[in-house]
Amino acid sequence: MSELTLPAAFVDLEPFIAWALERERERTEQREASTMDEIRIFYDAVFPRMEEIVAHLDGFAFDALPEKEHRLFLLTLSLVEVSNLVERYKRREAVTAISPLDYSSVQ
Amino acid sequence: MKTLLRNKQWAEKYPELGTGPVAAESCVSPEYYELERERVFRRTWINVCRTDDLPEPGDFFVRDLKVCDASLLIMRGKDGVVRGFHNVCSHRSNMVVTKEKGACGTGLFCPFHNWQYNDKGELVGVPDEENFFDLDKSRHGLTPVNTDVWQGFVFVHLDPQPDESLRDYLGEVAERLDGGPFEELACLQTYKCEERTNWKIALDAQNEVYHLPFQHQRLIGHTFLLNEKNHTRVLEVELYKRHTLWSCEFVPDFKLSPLEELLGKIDSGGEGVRIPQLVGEFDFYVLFPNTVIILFRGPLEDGMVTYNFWPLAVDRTIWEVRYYFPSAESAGRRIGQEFFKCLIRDVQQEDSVAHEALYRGILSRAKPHFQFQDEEITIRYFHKVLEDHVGSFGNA
Repeated sequence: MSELTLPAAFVDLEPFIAWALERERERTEQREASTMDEIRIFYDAVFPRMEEIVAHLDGFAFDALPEKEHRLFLLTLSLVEVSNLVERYKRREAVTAISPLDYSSVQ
Repeated sequence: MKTLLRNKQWAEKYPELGTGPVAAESCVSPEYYELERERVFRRTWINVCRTDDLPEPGDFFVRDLKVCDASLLIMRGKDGVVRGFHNVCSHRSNMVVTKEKGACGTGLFCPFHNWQYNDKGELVGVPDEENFFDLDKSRHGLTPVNTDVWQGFVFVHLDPQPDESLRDYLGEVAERLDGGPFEELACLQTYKCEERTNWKIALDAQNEVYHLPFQHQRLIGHTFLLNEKNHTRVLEVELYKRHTLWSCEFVPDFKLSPLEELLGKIDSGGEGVRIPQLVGEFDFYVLFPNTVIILFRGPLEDGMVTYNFWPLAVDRTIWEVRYYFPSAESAGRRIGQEFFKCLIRDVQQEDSVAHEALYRGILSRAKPHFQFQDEEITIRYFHKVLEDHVGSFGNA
């Protein structure tokens, strides 16, 4: 069995580990490369756990999150990344914006 | 709620500005763009970065100011003083620094022949110096550019003898914002988007909230205060010598998205940095010509967004957006900041579509004029200020 990459209480989110991305640009690329169904499955898995996740993360100093907690934190940033698409646009066809990949993010 | 919802209140406040149509040609004319370069960008203070871009002694930041054909090197000396220079070697005018940010270290070396400059821009090393003719190194430092700092914003003025100080240029904006907690705000993210548009079209499109219920209906259509007919009404407008302010209040019963509502509940960090200088809840300052400072109220802490519209050509503009928040001390707070940033980022990606479509429309010359309503008064004023600097189109 491969080594688990998330804190023990959140191993059920392990299938979504591809969303634990360090840079905003990578999270945007992941969003753009995913189907709306994949995005909704990710959103539906993480959203209900948010309260628990933040409570867990806030048990650590934010500037010194352990590796697994850091990955969990990155998952929440990806939830934010897709939230407008899921909650406000609801479908890709409703997006009336330039390609987000033309919008360069410098971190 | 302090906002008055009545119509045409800003024309009443500023009756001398007039209410007629405004010519659009300046937004597409290559000749006018050339005049702007000479009469605006070379003759006024321009915000090029923040001191955070060069936090430590010896750090530098390079701003490519294409509109003035200039590459500017902003450097913090080991004495702590922020100085600006042309990023141009005294030998044969090569660009000395080729990256956007860095540290001077033992010196800046021109990649062409290794001429060396120190943290104060002084020329300190010339390979094969003995083979030059009467070369006095003390007279060949980097060419200084007038540079000054206000509240962490670094400005340059390309005229060797500016006709006013930075303080006088900022005027009423500095009076309003002096003493703000700017040093407690850190840049979380910078975005740059190159658009096929004129710089003024992009700026004008941001300089009102009339469009929010329409263009941004899904994302933030009902964020700012609306009258009984669902049209935006700003709380305050101030027209200064050149700059402007409009300020809005949020809709009191603003419908939060599910994630936004959740984040509001689970952020346990308590109240953070507040900006007492806020007039309303979303204050939008345009610093003529191409800088915007937005200060906003959040549920638990306040923040800042800045825009710089960098003209590359009459029809090409880089829209640079920066988000500033107090440094997050908890995961919950940082996730909340990410939420705000991504929401406004997605709004701005809708805006970019409009900036380009507007340019194409104006370029067709089908409509020689803009029609501005009362809520768009700061755009009207911007074009008047521009005309005061450049001349009106046709008799410039």
